Amino acid sequence: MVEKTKLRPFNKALPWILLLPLVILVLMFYILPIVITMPLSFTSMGLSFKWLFVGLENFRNIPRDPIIPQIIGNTFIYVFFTLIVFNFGMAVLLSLLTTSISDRWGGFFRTLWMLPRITPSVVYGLLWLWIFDPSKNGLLNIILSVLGMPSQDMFHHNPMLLIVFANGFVGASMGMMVFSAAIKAIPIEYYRAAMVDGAGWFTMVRKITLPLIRWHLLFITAYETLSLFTSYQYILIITNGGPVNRTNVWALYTYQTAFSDFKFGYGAALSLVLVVVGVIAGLLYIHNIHVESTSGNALEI
Amino acid sequence: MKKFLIVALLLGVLLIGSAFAIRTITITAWTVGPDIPSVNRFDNLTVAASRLNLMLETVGSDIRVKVKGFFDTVNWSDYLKKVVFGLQSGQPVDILCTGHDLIASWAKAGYLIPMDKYVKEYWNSTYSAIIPSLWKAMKYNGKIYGVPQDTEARPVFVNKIALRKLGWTESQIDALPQKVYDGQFTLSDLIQLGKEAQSKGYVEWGFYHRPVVGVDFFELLNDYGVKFYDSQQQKFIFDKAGMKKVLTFFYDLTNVWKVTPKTLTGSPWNSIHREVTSGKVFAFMGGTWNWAEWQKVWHKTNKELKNMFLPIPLPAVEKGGRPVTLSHPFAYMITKNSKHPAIAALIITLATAPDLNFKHDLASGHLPVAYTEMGYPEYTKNYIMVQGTKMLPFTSFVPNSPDFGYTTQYNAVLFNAISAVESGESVNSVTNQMLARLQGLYPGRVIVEK
Repeated sequence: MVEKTKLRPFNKALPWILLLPLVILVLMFYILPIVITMPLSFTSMGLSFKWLFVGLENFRNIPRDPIIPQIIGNTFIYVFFTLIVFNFGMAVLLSLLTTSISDRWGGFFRTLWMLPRITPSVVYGLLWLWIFDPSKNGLLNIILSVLGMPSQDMFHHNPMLLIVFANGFVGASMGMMVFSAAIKAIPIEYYRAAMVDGAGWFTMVRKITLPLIRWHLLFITAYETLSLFTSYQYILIITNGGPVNRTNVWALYTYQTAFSDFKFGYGAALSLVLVVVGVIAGLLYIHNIHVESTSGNALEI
Repeated sequence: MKKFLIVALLLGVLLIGSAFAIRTITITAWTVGPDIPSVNRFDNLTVAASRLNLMLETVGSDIRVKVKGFFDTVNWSDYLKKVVFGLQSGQPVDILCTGHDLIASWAKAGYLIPMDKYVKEYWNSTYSAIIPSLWKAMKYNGKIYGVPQDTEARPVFVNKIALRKLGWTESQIDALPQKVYDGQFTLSDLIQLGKEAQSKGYVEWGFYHRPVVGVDFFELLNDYGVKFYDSQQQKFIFDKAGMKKVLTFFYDLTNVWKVTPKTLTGSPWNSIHREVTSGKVFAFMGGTWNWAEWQKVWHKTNKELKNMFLPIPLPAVEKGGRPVTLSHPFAYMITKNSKHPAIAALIITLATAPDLNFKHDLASGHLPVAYTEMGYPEYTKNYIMVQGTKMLPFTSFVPNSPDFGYTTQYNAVLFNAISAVESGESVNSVTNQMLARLQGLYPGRVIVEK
């Protein structure tokens, strides 16, 4: 009894002790940058690194910046199409297909799709640069020339398509893994019962699989939307936002403003906008996920 | 007793040793190419330190100087980030070596210390020999912040093999540069000649320029007489009609004359050099340093290059006009973080010795910054140096203003516009986009001239 009483305060503190390293990391790398960015966004800090406060000037300059409408349009196209076509759409398709075949082949194809994710970003970006190099030294143009077809120039004619594809091939694997795991967790009896009732593959997907993994679908949608809003590394490597800003998105423009133009104050203001958009979107998703996850999973077959 | 003797002996050795101890002062230098043959920008500083150490040893000084640091060959943008964040985080950097166009922004931000007193101190021994016009490129707000390290010209390399195939005799080819200097051979003549060589299958393309952002494109603005900056007011000038003419030139290159591939912008440098050095291009807007690069990296001999290329300045737009070229002198600078600015200045002065600078010029295809370098017999024998020096009366510099010097600001806006028109976008639309971008970057500081 005495032992238990002695241990009680320790037991109470234990979760906090275990969480402490993670809390420190979150504070240092997630909260602190936001805290620093806030006052920075009210300054005109440039190369001299001086905190010269200019009030709301940077925020007033955002709508006046003529490139902003193009940046917003690009960001929307980039996030929407990468998400819908690849990070969500392709991920769902891959997980459905790879769980419908034998584990061995399913695992093989999933591993194949994981390759872009485990390849270092720079190597992956350089591979895309080489494949779509518009000169005749590019891999695709070499193949096209062997086939007697005219060479392509995706960099100038469809740069956004290139960016969506490059990001999508990496992004699809995350959803694929989560959805595959969720599908495998569905009791096999549901499918057997459906088959006895004469349900085909499409019906089972529509009536059993998708309803039972909808929480995962919503989570991945939320997670990938927020990730895409803030991601720019592949765009930086492949097109650096060009040609003429046609692939420049908000996150990349923020990076360029701060770390290439060395306009830290304006860059901070741009990134704060991204933080606000991210927080609002995050809260909306959390609210929806919460409603969905507590509303039960009724099956209609 | 024995123990006592040993201890006494050790103490004695220690005392004598400390009396003769050599104090080493480390000078850190961050330099950049990015062209590989320009490595002497750093190496000359280490040689200068060796010479200084020899002097110190001779006079019995207990001080020695060591130079450490790096020579960056990655790209400009990375080097700039290293310098900005390195200096701000208190890295003990003493010497920087980079383009003169960074002097204004770095001096304004307080990264550099004025070098006037050092230049004055070593004027008679070293700096009086520097070509006077170069000091203009080293100044910001009337103070000297850099010592010229090298300069260059940006010739157009014309394919002599293609000219011969077009029926040009050797004497006609040799007479071409003078025609360019006299304004009798225009930019349009050059393009038409390239088009002819291309249509007859002697070359694959008629005209190449650099594929990435850079100061070279200011040459075209100067050639068309387009003013783009008012140094007095520190404001940008947007000469809409003039800019349209320049952009039309680039539009026509790929869309009308079709002498330049639409895929040129964004192509890797290696592809450009491979095609130019293999004779597939009629005219290439390059720089004197390419001559050294093509020898060192592309394994061409001087003889092969002389047989293949004729360097000329960028021909005038109008008949009778002046051709142009552009120089981008490099400079040694001393940073605010330097704990030993006097020693750093001494190292820079010794590295400015004519033999060391000339060694760099020879190895990298740059041009001398001092008259004393021109006295070497190798200078008169060096084809590209002599040809490049001839172009210097037609040269200009990038404005020494805090608004220039970064690859991502005005230069990038201009390059993006060029890239857009070459890919087929309309000149009018791109001109308006360019103006909007500049007005966004520099609110209230763009003077529009229609």
